[in-house]
Amino acid sequence: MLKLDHINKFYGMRQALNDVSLELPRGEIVGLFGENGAGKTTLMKCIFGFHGYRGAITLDGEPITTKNIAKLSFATSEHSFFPNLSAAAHRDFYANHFDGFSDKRYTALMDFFALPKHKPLRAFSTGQKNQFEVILALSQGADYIFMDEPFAGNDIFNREDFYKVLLGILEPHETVVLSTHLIEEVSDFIGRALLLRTGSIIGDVTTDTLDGEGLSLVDYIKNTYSYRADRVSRALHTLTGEDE
Amino acid sequence: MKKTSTPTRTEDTRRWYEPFVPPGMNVEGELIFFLIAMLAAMCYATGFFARLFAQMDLLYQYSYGERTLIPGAVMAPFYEVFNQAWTGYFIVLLCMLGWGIYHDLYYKQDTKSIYTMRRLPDRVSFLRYTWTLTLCEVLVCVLFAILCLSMSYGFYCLMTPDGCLPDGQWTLFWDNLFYRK
Repeated sequence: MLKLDHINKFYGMRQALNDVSLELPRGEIVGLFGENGAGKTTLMKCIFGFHGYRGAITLDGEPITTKNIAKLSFATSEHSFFPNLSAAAHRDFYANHFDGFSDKRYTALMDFFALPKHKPLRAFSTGQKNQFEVILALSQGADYIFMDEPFAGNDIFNREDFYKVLLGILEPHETVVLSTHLIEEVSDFIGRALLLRTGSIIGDVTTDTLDGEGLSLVDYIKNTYSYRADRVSRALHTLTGEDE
Repeated sequence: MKKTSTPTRTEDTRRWYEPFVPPGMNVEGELIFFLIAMLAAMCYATGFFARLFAQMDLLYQYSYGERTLIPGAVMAPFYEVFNQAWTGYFIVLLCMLGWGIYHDLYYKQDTKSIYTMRRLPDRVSFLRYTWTLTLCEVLVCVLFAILCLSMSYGFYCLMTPDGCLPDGQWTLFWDNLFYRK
């Protein structure tokens, strides 16, 4: 269990995370949603210890240290690979440093995305870089796989096929936390949705609950965000002086 | 039979030092810089010999084509002759510490590979990749500085005529290490 207790994070005077508490058991696929600047990336980085924070984050009751950090993996839109190394060299690096590295999964995903093995990553396209970032995160052998906007620059066919592959390869003990704006695309394969707004969790619901209530994920998010349906017409009226 | 390619000598060398440099970093430029800087430091250090020969010349007088030792002549103190000939090595040392800082900044260029390095289960690996080469370079600088001092003193003692060596050389040397008294 990954547990966050009363996490607060400030950038100077600005509060980026406000008393965030949640539990992430193993085996879930969690969508993390929120507007730009809501704190999604900050939350993930605090979990990894990349940012200082107030509060407590534990994994199976223990603080996250070098002893257990290999149980967490991270795919970020900023890309955490080494641009001068090839995919093959990355494979060797991960295999050397992460005991749980799955060569089988790595090879299968490389073949699925048809990525070149011996070209430096700086020569990859943006979409290929995103794909490789995700491959490393999934192959590391982690129990908790965090993906921060992993699909930017990828075409819809690759994205849809990837969701299917992801569902097929995940083990029961693996948890994926996926931060994305592509709500409609991921709504069919996530099991839980977390909503962040200005650093606070404003929604935490399972997709089973939404199905039971007859709500789609998009409707739930709109309701929770108090989305104003007339904001477009009001803006246009202000700008053009014309009524729609 | 499938023909496998034999690694070239450059590839073999590169694989050997890969665990000791930031992953993917091309350190050839740094090593060339280090080599040139050390050569420059060595050239600077050889200025000691010019000063040694000049001071030795002052011990002698010339008369009718013959060179004789001036009675009671005393060689200039070692610290004056040495005149911080080893300075170049310490400048190179500081430069290589700067390169070490560049190793650390490397993980934040282009991508954020620092996120991978900070997730490594073995924390020593991060330090090994980032600072081993720098540490070796710094040690080489210190060794060469010590060698420069030792050899210079050796030459100073060997080449100074008997009876012309002043006393208390090392006390004078350390007293005047950072500024002349």
